[in-house]
Amino acid sequence: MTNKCISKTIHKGLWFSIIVGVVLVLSIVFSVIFGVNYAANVGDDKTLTVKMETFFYDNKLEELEDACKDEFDKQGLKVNYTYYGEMSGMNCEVMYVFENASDEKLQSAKAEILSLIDTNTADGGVWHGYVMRVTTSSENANAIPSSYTVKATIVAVVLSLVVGIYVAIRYGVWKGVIACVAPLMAMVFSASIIVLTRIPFTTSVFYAVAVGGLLAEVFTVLTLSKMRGADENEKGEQLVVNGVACKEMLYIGLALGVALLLVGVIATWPVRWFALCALIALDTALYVNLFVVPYALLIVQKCADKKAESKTASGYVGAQKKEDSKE
Amino acid sequence: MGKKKSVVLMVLLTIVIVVLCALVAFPSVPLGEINRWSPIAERYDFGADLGGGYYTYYYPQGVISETVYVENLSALEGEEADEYEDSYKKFNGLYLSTDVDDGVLNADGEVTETFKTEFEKLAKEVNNRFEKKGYSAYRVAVVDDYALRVEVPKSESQVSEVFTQLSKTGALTIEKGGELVDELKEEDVTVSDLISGFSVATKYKATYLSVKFTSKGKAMVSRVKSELSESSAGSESATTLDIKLDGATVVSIYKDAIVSGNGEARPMALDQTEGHRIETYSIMLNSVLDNEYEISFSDVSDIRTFSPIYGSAVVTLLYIALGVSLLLALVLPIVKMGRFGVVSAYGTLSYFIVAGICFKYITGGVFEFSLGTVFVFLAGLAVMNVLQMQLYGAIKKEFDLGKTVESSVKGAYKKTIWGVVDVYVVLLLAGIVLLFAGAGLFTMALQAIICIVTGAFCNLLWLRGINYTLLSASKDKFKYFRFVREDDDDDE
Repeated sequence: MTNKCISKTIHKGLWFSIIVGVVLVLSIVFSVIFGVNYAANVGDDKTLTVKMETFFYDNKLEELEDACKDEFDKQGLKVNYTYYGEMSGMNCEVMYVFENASDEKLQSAKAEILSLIDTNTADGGVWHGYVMRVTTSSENANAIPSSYTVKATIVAVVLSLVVGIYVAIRYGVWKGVIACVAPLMAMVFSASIIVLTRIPFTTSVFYAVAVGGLLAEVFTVLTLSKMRGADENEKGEQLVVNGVACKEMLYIGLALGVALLLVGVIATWPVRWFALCALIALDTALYVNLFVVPYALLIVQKCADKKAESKTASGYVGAQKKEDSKE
Repeated sequence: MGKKKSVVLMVLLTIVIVVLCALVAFPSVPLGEINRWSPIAERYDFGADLGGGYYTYYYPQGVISETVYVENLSALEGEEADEYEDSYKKFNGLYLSTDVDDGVLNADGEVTETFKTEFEKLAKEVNNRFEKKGYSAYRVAVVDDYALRVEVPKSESQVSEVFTQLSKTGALTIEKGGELVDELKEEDVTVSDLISGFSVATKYKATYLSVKFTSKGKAMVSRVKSELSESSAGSESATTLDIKLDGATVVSIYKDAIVSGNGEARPMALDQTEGHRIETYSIMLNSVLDNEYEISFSDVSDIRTFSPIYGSAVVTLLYIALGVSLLLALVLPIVKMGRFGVVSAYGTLSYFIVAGICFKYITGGVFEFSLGTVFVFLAGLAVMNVLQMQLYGAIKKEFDLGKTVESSVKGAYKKTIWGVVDVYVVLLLAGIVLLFAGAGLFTMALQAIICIVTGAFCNLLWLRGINYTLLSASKDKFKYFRFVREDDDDDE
């Protein structure tokens, strides 16, 4: 996308803002009806724990794990992830955390594994002399402390205000307002998309959304700085269209996008989810700065140009300029 | 600068950069029988998602796990075994005491409402305590409705102390020389009437627990101060003001720990690097000062480590992805901008070195390397390189106006400097706001600030110097920037 494309989309900025609003409202409704999808290791979980001696853990764990996995497959239990809890010199444990496990199936699996352990630890058995215990539990963790969400929201607002004040001092009040709103909009937009797409919501998502907000600020400042350095003859829409730092934004977006794709492709699923959230945060920062900010800047620029025109129309010329023109 | 000087300088700089890169990232190799070289990248404290952590269980008094029940029962026989069986009732994976005096079950064998309410209150408070520790990720899960499983990242070096202290409840008392202070003998007077709060303070490279007294507490301290011993006295014969929790001393205040004015005491002084230990005590003491609990947890016994639940290969794979990203950041500017791109490549390596070292050594506290760290690092790197690209575009623009190469470079730096300053000031302000946010964003904010300051240093100063040196060493300044001019005048 080049600045030519900006000239085609600049007048539709209001519609692009409305899209953000609609997505936000949808995400709120969605989360009220279906709840937020918290990550695999939070929320309600059923677990099956096998406790064993350290020597068995170090030397025969694989045999036990194979037997457990066979039993889980028979019962149709899906292991979400496994904790390998080690404690030197004493009892270790392996905790299997299941996805959507019924109590009935879990108790059946427990009974079968207990029976297998009894057989194998009896005289002549392959695990003779070892003592193992099997227990089942349910766990319910606070997904993300509610105070985190409240604090994160307050921080996002304060951050935007502080940056807005700096930009207002450097570039003018209304541009400061735009610099204040742009990162907020980007953060809200990315959080809404993450909720709507049911991507597992973890504390890492806060990081991704926060960095997306920072990138949105960077993009806005790059645009404002480019506009300031523009040709004196450029005014109004032309100034804004040519001032949008498209190339810089897209290069940053491309560089980060490629890096995040690499991270997502190479790493395992939870890291992929994080990379996806980060990509969403990056894309929303680009969206806001390519489609919404230029429209807002156009309005501000048009008002500024009108004001400048009314000053020259009055015929007033400053003393210095009068002297210069006489010379 | 002369060509020879420039060449020598660049060779030296290159050697330094290569050595520092190796310090940060060269793979671990054995050095003889015992010692081993490990790069800085292997010595990071990882968050739980990348490095695993520790976990333990908190069982309220009167509640035991199925494992403990089965083990105890298997050691008993006959009547004793029957008695033991009767003394507990199974509840999911737990066994609850049937003794009414324990307060867990009533005479009908149902869980009492008081126990349910108190446990819920305590579970929330334990969650608050761990939240205040500021871990990037922790977990407090309710197990089978009436026990807790708590997880912290592996970067916690005092895990036993943390798990033990943050499980404590009970009544606070203040004693002088083993006897309750007179003020607490009065009716309806509690410790919170004498102490307003606890906090962590640092002075002269020492961290200490700051105990703030109320006006009533000040009067108490004034009254007893002269009877207290100095900290140099032997501990057996010393008279101290002791803050106790359920009869066990938590803090002992000597005379010289009391600040003039008697409004504050500063016991428990430790080296600044151990400030997080004082923080644990501060969190626990504030919690018991502000709240009363009817139930308490049994002593914490089994603490287990767990590896990253999504596989220990995650870190290696992440480093591979980062390595590929760095390689692209080195190569692409050279492809795009020619020899000027070599300046960006030096910038990328410098950024990598400084950020990599600062991530490890900038603070003695918990500084976890997590997925957020990766994103912040990459974002900083991208911004730095794109600003260099913007500079290249400005140099080209100036050159197209007919200026000499040197004038073009000078003019471009002048025109772009404030834009670059604005970008980094805005990022720094945002980073500082995040720093005060808490809520687990503190570590990420610190890492972001490191990346921002490093990027600013590179863009505003370091790369300018490198560019000047490389340009001085260059034979053809036009080719350096990939400029083409119709009249090929030598402008030297």
